[in-house]
Amino acid sequence: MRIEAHAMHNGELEAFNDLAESFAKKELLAHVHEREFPYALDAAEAVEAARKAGLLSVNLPEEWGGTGLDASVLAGMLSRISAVDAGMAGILFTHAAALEIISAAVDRGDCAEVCRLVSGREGSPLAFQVYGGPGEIELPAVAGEGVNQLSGRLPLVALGRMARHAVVPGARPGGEKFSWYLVDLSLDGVKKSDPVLTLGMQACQAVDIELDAVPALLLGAEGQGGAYFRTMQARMSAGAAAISLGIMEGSFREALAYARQRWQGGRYLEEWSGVRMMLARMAVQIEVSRCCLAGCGIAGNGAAFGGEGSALAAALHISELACAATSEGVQLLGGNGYMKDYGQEKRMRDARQARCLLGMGGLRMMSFIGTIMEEARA
Amino acid sequence: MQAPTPEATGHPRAPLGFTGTLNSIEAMHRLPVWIRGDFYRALELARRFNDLVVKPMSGEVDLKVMEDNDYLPRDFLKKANEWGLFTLWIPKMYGGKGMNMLSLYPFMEEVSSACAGLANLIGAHYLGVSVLCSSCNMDITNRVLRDVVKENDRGRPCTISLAWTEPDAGTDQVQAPLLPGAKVRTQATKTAGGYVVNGSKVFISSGHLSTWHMLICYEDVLKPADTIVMLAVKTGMRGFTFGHKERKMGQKACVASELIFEDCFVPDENVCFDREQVRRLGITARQAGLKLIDMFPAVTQPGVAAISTGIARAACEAAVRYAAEKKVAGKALINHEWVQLVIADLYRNAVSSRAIYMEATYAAGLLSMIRLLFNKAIFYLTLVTPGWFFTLFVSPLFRLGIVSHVYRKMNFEMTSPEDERHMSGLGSLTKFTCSDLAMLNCSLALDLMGADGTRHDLGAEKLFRDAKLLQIYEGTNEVNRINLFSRHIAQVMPGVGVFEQGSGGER
Ligand SMILES: Cc1cc2nc3c(=O)[nH]c(=O)nc-3n(C[C@H](O)[C@H](O)[C@H](O)COP(=O)(O)OP(=O)(O)OC[C@H]3O[C@@H](n4cnc5c(N)ncnc54)[C@H](O)[C@@H]3O)c2cc1C
Repeated sequence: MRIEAHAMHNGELEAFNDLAESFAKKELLAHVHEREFPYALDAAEAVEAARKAGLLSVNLPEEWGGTGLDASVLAGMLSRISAVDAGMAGILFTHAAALEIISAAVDRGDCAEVCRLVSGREGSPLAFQVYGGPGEIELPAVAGEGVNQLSGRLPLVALGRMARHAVVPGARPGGEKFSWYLVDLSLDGVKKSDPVLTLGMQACQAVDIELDAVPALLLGAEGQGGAYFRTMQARMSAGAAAISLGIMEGSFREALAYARQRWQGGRYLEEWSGVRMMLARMAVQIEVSRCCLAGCGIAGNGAAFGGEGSALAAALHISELACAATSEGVQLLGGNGYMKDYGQEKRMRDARQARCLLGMGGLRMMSFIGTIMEEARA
Repeated sequence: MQAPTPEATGHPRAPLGFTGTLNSIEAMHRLPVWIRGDFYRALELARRFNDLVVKPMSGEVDLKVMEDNDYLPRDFLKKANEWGLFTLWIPKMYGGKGMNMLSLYPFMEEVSSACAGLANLIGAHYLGVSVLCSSCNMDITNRVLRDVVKENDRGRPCTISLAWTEPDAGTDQVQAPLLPGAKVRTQATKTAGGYVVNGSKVFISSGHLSTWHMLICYEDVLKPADTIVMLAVKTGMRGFTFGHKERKMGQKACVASELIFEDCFVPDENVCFDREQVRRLGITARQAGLKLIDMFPAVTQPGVAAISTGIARAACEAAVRYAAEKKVAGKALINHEWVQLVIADLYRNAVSSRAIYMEATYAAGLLSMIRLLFNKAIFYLTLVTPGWFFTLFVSPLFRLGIVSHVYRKMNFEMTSPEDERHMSGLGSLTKFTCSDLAMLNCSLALDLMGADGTRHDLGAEKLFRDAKLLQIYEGTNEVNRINLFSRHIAQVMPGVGVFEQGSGGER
């Protein structure tokens, strides 16, 4: 059974969110920039701390040893963490998205092998192509009966370096449909690139992977990849939106604090109505985003869940607002906003990166309207 | 009841002057026709320079600076110098090659389309050159620029930076109405034979790489607007050191430096502008100082706009390339209609951006502080006169105080206020419009490219990081909007003031 956000008491939800916030402040705040390229620190320590705090098993089913919460609960936590370091939120998101594919695919009564692999207490997070959606990612070719073997290229696999296992797509040559597989990244035949330098969320390192006849465990039914992806997307879109919201909130806080103490033109910045208008725009964008998320049942206020589409729409809309707001967040700090001594430039990059979570925006728009049109026809 | 007077309502007392923005039509008959060829020559040069120097270096330098913030691209400077780029646009009368300065803008656009950071190493130099020229002190301008030419000819890259921004005073300094209350700290104290400078400057583009620095500071930091001093400070002068290098988001090739002055003595011969020098002009020291800081942005801001256009173009090109190669749902991305609509916008933005800065380019040739160089008689005479003639016969004249005095009078006193307003507003408009379009195009391109757009190895994300700076330096876009409003709109609206004059701010 999965416990959804709207089925929980506000107090319970807040407790999860507070947990995430205190984790972010205690474990992440001091070294945010060091987990960025050129990586004075890798994220392993922070991931270990997250695992100990139970953040890697929030949406892991209870029967597999997890907390068994719906991904929507995770969203609130991701927004708190993103306000401090969206890169770390990206790590949790990647792992959670991979778990959602597995949950959607695997019949829990008959999944001893998968369960053993993903629920190990000492287990590392799962790797996943978190920035891609069907139609845009190259699919490795699947060969073999019984034992499936994957060959081909997997670009931009988030956590591909630190994870032991990855959830990856694959398709039989000539086949129209694709499936999901669990691959052990420590096997022969797996070749990883150096970490790919991405614009944002750099703590969540991604690598390009080449597979050469690597044995893989089929997840769920063959050819059902699209359906499992859609289920995962519906559940995780709120998380993607929440990351964008958290980034925006962090940006607003820093801009507001700066405007209160920066003196320019004979007064504090906050006293210029032009500056206030910029702050107001950011604040409106944040409020609208909160409302959107609440509408998806995230805010813990019992608002009705608006169905699959609402989270998808929220992710698209909020990520766009976050890109605008974080650019304004840099602008409000003038030259300082452009420098790494402040958090704003990172947030602006992170917001752009977060916009790619779960696939290209344009394609998600197309699939969103496709679903609506299908429903209208039916 | 009496009808309200125009003053009371704030209605415009004159048309808003949109007709004053048809610079290209004026330029058709007033600017020398030769400059057309120069534009093409500059473009051709930039394309070759891009292919052979900029493109092979761009991504690598960006990465190197990310890995080691102390890395300085001296190799690029050397190459740019070998190509003669630091002297090509220095007027012949100052020993340079004298390519017409307007052709620098399309050149900057082209190089920026390959790398805005590297382009800005050239752009920042000409910002320094322009600021030096705006002092209208022909003696020091001649000496410094000839030194630049001499050093570059010897194979030692020699460039000029502009050192103006301070830790507590950015916007404060670039807008005349705000300067009187600015919290500036870099003070030049008059002493026997020169000035002693104390204070610091921040964010100075190409500071660590430059040999000369146009330092704008103040005799009395409590009265900055009345006591502007511009000094030519050379790297190595006692009391002048470099501080830290900023860790920037983008344009990483172009270092942003802290400059520190501790009892730095600058001799009289390096004073480009101070109260004393403008004493005999028919205007006050404040008027002269404010004119100085108003004059050069009209020439340099179209340069920022040109860099912006280069980025806007590059974003469009990156998106088109990607869309042509990428297959989505079995079909090339570029063959999806929604993608074609986005690409049309990208293209529109780049082309519009160019049209806007070219309009400002023509205006600079007609109305700005460099307009004399584009007087047809002077232009063609200079074109046919060999460089040695200037060195032997003209250069010595610059030492005569009367020459600078007359030149200053022409620029400071005899420029019509209308032209000044027009140029200042147009510079602002050009800067904020084109930089906004550059950011817009980078966002559209990244949206189209999805995750691939965020990969450093594919190049598009760098455009996005580089572009953001364009909205900040040379006056933030907000302040430039206010300047445009002030110069083109409030000016004809009685009772309308800017910077919340008299309102005490919205509390
Ligand atoms: C990489 C880089 C390179 C640079 N190169 C140079 C250089 O070569 N030489 C040089 O001298 N300087 C340089 N600068 C400085 C640049 O010109 C300043 O950063 C810019 O003028 C803004 O000043 P500031 O950073 O102090 O911002 P602030 O003035 O503190 O402004 C902060 C924010 O408040 C807003 N604001 C301020 N006042 C008002 C107002 N009255 N009304 C409405 N909004 C307002 C601004 O628009 C901005 O959004 C560079 C800066 C950078 C980042």
